[in-house]
Amino acid sequence: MNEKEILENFISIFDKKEDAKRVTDELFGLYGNLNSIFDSNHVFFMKNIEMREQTAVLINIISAINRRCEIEQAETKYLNSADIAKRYFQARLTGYSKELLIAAVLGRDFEIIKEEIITNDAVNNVSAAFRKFAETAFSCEGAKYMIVTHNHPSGNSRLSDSDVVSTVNLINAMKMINITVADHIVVGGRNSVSMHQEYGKKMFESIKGYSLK
Amino acid sequence: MKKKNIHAGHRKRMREKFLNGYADSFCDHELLEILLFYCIPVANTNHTAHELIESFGGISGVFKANADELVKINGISSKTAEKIVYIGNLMEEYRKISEKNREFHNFDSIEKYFLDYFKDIKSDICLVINAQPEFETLDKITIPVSFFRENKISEEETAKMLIMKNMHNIVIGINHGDRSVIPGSTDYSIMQFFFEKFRIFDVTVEDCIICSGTSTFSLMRNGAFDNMSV
Repeated sequence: MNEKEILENFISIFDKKEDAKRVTDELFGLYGNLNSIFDSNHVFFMKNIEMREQTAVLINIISAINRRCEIEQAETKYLNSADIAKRYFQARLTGYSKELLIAAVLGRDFEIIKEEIITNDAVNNVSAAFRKFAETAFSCEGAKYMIVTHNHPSGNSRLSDSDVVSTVNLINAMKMINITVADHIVVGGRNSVSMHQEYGKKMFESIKGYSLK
Repeated sequence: MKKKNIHAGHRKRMREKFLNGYADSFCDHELLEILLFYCIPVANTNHTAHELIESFGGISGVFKANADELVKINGISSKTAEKIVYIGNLMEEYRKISEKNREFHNFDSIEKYFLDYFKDIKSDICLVINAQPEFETLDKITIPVSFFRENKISEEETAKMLIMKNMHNIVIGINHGDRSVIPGSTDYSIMQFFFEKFRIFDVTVEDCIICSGTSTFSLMRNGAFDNMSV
């Protein structure tokens, strides 16, 4: 089946068969292919095409569900690269309107042993937060690495001076208890930054098995 | 006496909530519940949605399951199971195209993404993507260019879409189909619309790229942004 036939078939099966051909022809006239139809919004469909509300929802629900599946599939149990860590925490923190600070304790193969929310507010007492990081690490058998993440509810993933300073201090604090901080991921909206990718050896020790690509 | 369909009002309300709100504000089970409206006539699909997600370990698991596994869930008939499998296959096809060339390391890779996206499309469509160099995009909106020409685009609707999709740094791709890649007045109007109107909501236009066949024209790199009011 070509894309037009796929969409017509889809509308026929799930919605009103009588409208399927007309709606399909009009949508393809406007958008040109199936992907761009799914990437659009019902607001635009209903402006130009005589279309039932049910049909507009049907088309948009596919892209909405697809997006959720993508986010879910970004989950992984092994955080052995900066890119994997970014995708993982981006999926975790998307949609939160408050600032969250999370520690993921990893084993020798970078497998996640434990994830703990250190605070669900902006950090005011850094020592108290560091203590919680240490407690989390101590509570895990086989803990070797830690990846820390926090989000910027503003949606901007740009690093602040305090992000940098607190990360340096955390690395030193965890070193005392034999935990290597592999990365600090900052999530802003749908984007994220790996501080290890940004600062490399200037901030982090070289870690065998943790890819920066 | 005809029995009142107690579900009819609920389904209409859910659809209206979806149309008036934003998909990101819905839980996984609510999205699945709405989809099940189209698969299961006149029944409470909320419980079924919950059970599906619990049984298959998440929403993506539901669409990876085969029909034999799905029919074991309460409320899922063989016909409904076939429909869910159908949706799963449809989304797989959609994802294949969506994910192609999605890692943006520089503007060249963004141009490549647009060229692939618009390949074989004759229609004049505008694709707005949320992109920063070196990061993948998950968010995009397609808008027929004719909507800009005919003033069918409202600032309020566009602002809502950009904000609810968490778009901050956007790149606009405009497909010219078979026509020349040289920008026309409509292209400049589109660029101006996004550049000027939504800056107040922290939306920055990084570039506007015209595409035709295998050619591109970047408005930013050709100085068009220099004349835009800041």
